[in-house]
Amino acid sequence: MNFLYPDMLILILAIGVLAVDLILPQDEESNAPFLMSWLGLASIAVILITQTPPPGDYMVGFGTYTINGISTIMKLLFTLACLFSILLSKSYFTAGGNLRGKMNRHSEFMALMIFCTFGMYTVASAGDMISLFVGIELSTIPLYILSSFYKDDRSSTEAAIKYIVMGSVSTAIGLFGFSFIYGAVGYVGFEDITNFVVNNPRDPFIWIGFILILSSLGFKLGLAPFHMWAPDVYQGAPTPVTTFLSVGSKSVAVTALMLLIYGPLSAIHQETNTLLIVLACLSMVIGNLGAMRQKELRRFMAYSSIAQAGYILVGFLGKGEFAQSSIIFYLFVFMFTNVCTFFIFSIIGQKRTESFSSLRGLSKEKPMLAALLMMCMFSLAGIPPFAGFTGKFILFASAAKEGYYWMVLVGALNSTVSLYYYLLIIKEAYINKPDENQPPLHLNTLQKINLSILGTGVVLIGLIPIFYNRVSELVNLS
Amino acid sequence: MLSSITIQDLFFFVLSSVIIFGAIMVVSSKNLIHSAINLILCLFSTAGLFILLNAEFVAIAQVMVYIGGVVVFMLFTIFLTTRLGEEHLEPLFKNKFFNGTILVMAACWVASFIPSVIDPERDQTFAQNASLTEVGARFLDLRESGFIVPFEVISVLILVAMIGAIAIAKNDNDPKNKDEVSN
Repeated sequence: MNFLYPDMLILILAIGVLAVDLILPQDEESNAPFLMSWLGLASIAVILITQTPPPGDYMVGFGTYTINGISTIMKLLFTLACLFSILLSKSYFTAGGNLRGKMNRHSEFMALMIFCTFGMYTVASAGDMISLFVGIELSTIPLYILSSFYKDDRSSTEAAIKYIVMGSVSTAIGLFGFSFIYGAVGYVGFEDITNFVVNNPRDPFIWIGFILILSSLGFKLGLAPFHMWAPDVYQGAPTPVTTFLSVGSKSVAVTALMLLIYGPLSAIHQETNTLLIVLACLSMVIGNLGAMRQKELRRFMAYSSIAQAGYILVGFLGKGEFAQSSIIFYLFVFMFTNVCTFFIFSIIGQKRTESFSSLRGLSKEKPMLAALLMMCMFSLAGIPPFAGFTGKFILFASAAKEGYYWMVLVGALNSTVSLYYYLLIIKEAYINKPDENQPPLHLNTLQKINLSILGTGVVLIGLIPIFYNRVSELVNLS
Repeated sequence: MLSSITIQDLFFFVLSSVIIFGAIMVVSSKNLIHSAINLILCLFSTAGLFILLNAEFVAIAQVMVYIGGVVVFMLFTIFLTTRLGEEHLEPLFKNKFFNGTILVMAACWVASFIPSVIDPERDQTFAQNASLTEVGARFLDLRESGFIVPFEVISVLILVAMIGAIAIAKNDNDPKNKDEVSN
């Protein structure tokens, strides 16, 4: 039972954050929801770090909700993503915290974030297709709402509308796919589907279902050709939401895909690889080509994360526990690097527009911030000794282990191409002449502490083997 | 063959023809309101098909969710959007040859699955009919094969949607926070 504590606590926390506004006197500057959210999330993260589930699956609700090593480590990832996004959102609720204005209703904002994290938990623990689908929905619908939190900003509303329309279509497609698989198998439990797929690997309904589900998850993962929504939504949504979207939503889609490919569909894994290769190549190329032409920081990050989704998909070509732990480890690396980058962007966005030109002269003005930005960019590009290198190395190693050497070559070539546009950001920060009229940047203590934690993560996760060992230990348990 | 037609088959053919007629009217009608109303016809007949299959729950869900929810929502959107229902819609692809080719290709793709579906070696057992009570009991069942966990998560989902809807719809610019808005 105590393995369920994190799941229960996060639900209680979400409702508590909502309720605290009712109990305490109405005060716009009240810190209570913020304090409660981050303290609660941090303690849940600590519980998840210390927890080691028993080997095998620990079932709740007769297979609809499963707790195992993978679900525990994924829950930790989701909790950390939510925690850092909430810490990032602090300045957005204070006047003058961001150039685009001040957001209101912070208790609703944080409660929605935490509910969304609970949806992600459900995906990680799903033991049948219904839990999986409901979890995916619960982790997406709050994001539609959160994208529109700048009510006076047209681009935020536009982002929310685009996201909800395209997201609903993708949900419908995914649900159609689930119903095909249910139609073929007659059961929704993963175990029944596994048995059916082992006996009928060529069943057309399974294949139609898989292709439809892959399209739907590809949308959430931001894979080309389902990536159309990403640049506009990343651009229009408030930066804390963009952060959560780029890290959390992507990890949820990866988790769902991992559950299916290494679970019920593992018998046809070899055949599904063809589809994955096409999607991975397309995403890497389109993401990299798109990122080169961007001038807006968040739009740039959207294309960058499309390319990153392509790299993650390369890891899916591998088999077994090694591939799974390499993907999960890369998600952690990606989380630390991306959140750190968005933290830096949010500091720049306090007084300036979040575009490339605002970065000029950063190395003179805030040398540490510029150095951190360079670290993150190198990590995203996969330059040693930063975490991104180790992550990509293990990811590609899992594909190479199954003989997909040419896919590794494509991935490595694309990483080289991506170095070009990551260097463009570093060039703005270090080489280009600063603009005299730019308002000065200011960091508060909260931002400094967070940046040091995230920066340490970006460097150490790749260097110290303890992190990877823990991931692979937990994956091997399940 | 003809002698073996039962009353159920007859209903099936009638309902299917109504569905096909409705579907064609939905896509070919130039007025958006007519399309929406034809969609109701189409969805009602689908509900009839479900009743024919003894699946009352799905039939009721079809009427409640699709006709009561989706189509009415669409009609609201059409009426609230100025002049959307009055304009004549132009098809996106006007080339008849192109459209025909796509249609034939899609039909062939669907037809290619027929042999494997009517394969006599395929498992031909069908699921038992479930009454409304059984469906409801299954949702809340705490024993094996119940869906209590997803059911509870769905209730959280609905709660979240309501909170979100209120958070979006509520006016931030009320007089109480006026000085903040002007900043």
